[in-house]
Amino acid sequence: MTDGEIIALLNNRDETAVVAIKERFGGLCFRLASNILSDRRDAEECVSSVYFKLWSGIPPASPNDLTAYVAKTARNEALMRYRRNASKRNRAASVSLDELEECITGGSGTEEDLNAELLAKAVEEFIRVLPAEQRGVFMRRYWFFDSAKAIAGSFGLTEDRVNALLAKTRRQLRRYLIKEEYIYE
Amino acid sequence: MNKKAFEVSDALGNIDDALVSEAVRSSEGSCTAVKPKIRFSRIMTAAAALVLAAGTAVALPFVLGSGTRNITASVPTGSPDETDNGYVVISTKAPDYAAVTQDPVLVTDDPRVTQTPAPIGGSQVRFGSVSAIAMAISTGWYMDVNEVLHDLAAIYMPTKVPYGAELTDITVTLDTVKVKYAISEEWIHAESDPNRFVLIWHRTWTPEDIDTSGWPDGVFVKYSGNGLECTAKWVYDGCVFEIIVPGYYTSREDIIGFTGLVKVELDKANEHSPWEGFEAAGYMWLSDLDMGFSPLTAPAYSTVYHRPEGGDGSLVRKEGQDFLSMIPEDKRDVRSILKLFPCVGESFEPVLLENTTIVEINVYDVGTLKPIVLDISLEELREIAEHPAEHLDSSILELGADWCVLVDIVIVHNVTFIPELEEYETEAYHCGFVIQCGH
Repeated sequence: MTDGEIIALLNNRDETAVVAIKERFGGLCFRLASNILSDRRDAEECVSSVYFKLWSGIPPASPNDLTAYVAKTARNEALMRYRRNASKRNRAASVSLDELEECITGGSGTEEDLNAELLAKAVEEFIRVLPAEQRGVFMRRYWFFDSAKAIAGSFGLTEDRVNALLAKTRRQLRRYLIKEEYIYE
Repeated sequence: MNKKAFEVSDALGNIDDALVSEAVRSSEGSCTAVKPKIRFSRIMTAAAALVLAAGTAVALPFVLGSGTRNITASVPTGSPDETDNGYVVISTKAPDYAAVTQDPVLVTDDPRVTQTPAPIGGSQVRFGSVSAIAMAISTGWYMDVNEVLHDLAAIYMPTKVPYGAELTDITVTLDTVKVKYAISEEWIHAESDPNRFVLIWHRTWTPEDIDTSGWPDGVFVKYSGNGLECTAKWVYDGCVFEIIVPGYYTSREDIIGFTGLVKVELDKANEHSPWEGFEAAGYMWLSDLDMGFSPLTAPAYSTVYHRPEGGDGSLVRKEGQDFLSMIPEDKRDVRSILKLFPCVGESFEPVLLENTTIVEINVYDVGTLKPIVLDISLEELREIAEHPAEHLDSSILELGADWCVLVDIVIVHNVTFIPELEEYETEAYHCGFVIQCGH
């Protein structure tokens, strides 16, 4: 079923949309949720909530890219649960976030809240110009919270290579954020 | 976790869709397929309850699931031919979850249901004791569920189901349940499974609501994976708590929902036990709780049940009612009433029920599901518990061999009446039992 067909079902309040979403995106949602949450059951609950949010959100939302919309919904839902309860945190996701944190801490001027919208724009611009492989590896690690091993498998790289690439990208991101004055050295 | 990391992560979460889609594509093939399955998170088993309460293990024909969003989310809508994975879901969750997965029936006394109508599908039947209904259905003893649920639906559905969903048919036999509701014309078929049990808890509980801080150290829970082997032993407040009849599990180590028999002893090694000189050894029955009962949180509740201060220990008796008078004459069977209490027997120590209020003991006639409300004082309970033989001898009426009741005991503390809902909001534990008499 195409994105358009699923969205049409949702717009028509046709319950089969939920089934279609589950078939098409269930794996994606579950993977995201289980990468972030520690327990399979938590991940399953999270995915259930994602389905409901999709059902509730479309309409009025009318996403141009349903895949991205679903993925973002799942990620946000999982991260929300991650934040709420420390005991539910997937250790691997915590490591991933710790790595990401390296990019923006350690300097002065980082205590005040970052402007989320501006930061998002900056990060997006940074990612966009990365070489495809590097961008993919970075996204898989910090957007999907995939393990280095899984990423390596997808890209035909060694884990060491993935880790090196990630470290390099984090350094680049940090320099970029300093340059753009989101953080200060 | 430094919030800065979340800020960057959030920023990543908001990046352009095209970048996200690209990443999704790069990972295609690595997604784990999700197989539809029934998950029994936080469904309590009634096996132990049945054994203890009825004296005879009664195999429930199949499981009706509730108490979790996941079960509703993972239940496929089946056709009459789909016998492998179709289950009837009696969901006590908020209707939104039921709606997502087209629960055929939503039985709930969750107050939110009145405030949040189901967006789609799902016949909602409101009733005072969900567990009793669900167990009635699950046991298959509830032979004329059509009539009962239709009656209930007639009472409650017009205002609760605004989208035209209508329960049109439910057929229950000892082996199967079929539910049909008009909105989809689809059937759910539940296969019997004598190895599975269910007791339905009636309120929504979100683990996130639980403050896990301050839980005692040294608590451990072992979960074997089959849902029936939960063990825990812990010391708290001068008492040793040990689950000796686990009724339920969950695999999570942080949140445990269970019903079971807990043995309580004084912690003799604890010099500072507040229970010094207090003979508090005994058993108590613990069941799932509104707030997410857990061996880890049990001490808090146990404290409630044990502490002598704060009241005279008596149980509430409703105005103008007394024990047995609420039972129709043709249902007065002390043997049955005794069986309402899982710990009845020589070892029963009613002291463990002090400061606990049994507000209701609902006995349902299986045939009609007419509730029989009992109110019992602590003294009466104690009397029955301590001298069961006398009460057995005084049995007023011998019932027929096939007479069964569903018993739903609501034990409550911190009762707050919500006028708008005409309901009590409580912190309660809630035991359901199926009593089979005369066998």
